[in-house]
Amino acid sequence: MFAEIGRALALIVNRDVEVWQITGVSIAVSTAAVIAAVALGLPLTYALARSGPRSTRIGIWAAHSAAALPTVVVGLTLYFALSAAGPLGWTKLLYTRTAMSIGQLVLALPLLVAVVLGALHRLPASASEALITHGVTPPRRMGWLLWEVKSAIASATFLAFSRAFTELGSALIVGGNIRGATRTLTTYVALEYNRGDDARAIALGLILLVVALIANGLMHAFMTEQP
Amino acid sequence: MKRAVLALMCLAAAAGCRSKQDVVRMATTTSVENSGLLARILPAFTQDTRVSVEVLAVGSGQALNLLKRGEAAVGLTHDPAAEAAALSAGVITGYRKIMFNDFVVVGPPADPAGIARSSDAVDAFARIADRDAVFVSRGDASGTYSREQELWTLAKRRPVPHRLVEVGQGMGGTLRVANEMSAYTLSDRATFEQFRPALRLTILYEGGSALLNTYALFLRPGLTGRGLADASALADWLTDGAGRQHIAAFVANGQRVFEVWPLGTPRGSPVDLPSPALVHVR
Repeated sequence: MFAEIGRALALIVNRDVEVWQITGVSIAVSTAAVIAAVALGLPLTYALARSGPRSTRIGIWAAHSAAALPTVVVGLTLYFALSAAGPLGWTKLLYTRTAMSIGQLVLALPLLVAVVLGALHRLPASASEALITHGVTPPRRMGWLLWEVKSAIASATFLAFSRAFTELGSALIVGGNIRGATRTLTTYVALEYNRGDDARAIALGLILLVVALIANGLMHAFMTEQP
Repeated sequence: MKRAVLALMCLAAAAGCRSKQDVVRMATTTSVENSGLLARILPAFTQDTRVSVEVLAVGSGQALNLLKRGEAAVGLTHDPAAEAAALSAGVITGYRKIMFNDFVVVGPPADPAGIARSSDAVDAFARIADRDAVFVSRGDASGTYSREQELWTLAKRRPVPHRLVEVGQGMGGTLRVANEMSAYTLSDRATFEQFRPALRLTILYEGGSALLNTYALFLRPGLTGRGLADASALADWLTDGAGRQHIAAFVANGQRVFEVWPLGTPRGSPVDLPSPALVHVR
């Protein structure tokens, strides 16, 4: 075991090309998913927050429920949709990094919406009213209010990244673990266990752990910053 | 309340009894597991002997590794070269061939590389490389991957890297990827038959000794007491006992997919082959 960890560290230190290529794919796929989640999630969250207390509560409930979606269920659903015989087969997206990002987007979006919507919901109603009386235009009003919950948005973003970056079920099913293309840290660790190359699996497991811990640390940093 | 506690105690007692039942852990290849063979026949063994079997499905390389590490008592693999190395290193014992079938080269029905007209399996692989067709490779330490590598070597060429898609998955996952990509791949017959209804792929080349696929069973050395007795019971049941009839009767997708190793044929060495007359060349 210790010998294997030693060989694993050597692979990282010696900058093994495949190890870093896989790490790069993982970070790229998850970052794209989180950027898409923020771009879609913030306007969606704002719209939900503006649509009255009742629909806000329903929105929070729906986001919390969706945040519990099992990764393999997301992967399987996407697989059937994207497979050649499926309704979206014409997109030819199955076994691509785009498909993996879409799967992770589905997993990350509800977390982001749940956290940010909760924060917007807790803002005093006077904040929005003051902006209206000052004649601030709706698009700028959205910017102002989201700026008020910026630390919640930041922590939600890192939470979403952690969820995307560490998931295996969807990445494996819609990515296919194709060497040099859709192989990520999680699919590698899980499946190369079958190959018996323990050092390589441990090396990638360590990198996965470190990146996930950094994202988690950043999330906590922003959470404690919250007033 | 009292009744609930009583019920819980009964459940706990039942669970306790259950864990007392002997368990043999067996490491085998994804091709055997994906075929559905063990799930079909092992309940009969448990009924005959009261010993239950836990199956770990991994690549042949990891199956041998699990025996070496002491995680499994019995192994069932199809990688003669890796088995020979493990035998000479002394990490497996009680080696015997148990059954055989063949590998098949599968691909899209349109057969863009024209491998259906190949003269032999090596020629089929050469055609795939020459016509720039896409080939999905297991890319793991499995017996199927070993055979694929041997065939590329014999063909003296291999596809350019982006036409050789390595998926690092079991046979079932590899077939799914090949199906979606309308690509060629090498599969053991049992797993292909199991997956065939869900696939558009078809068998394009089969037959010949280069595609013969032999499965061997062996034990971990150093087993003692009941561990040894149970592992031996499982091995003997499969290779010489009632298991033979169960293997012969097993069908996937309506086809017989494993041939039991013929009695009287040498079976103690990784290089042993069943009598050529028995290898069904379709």
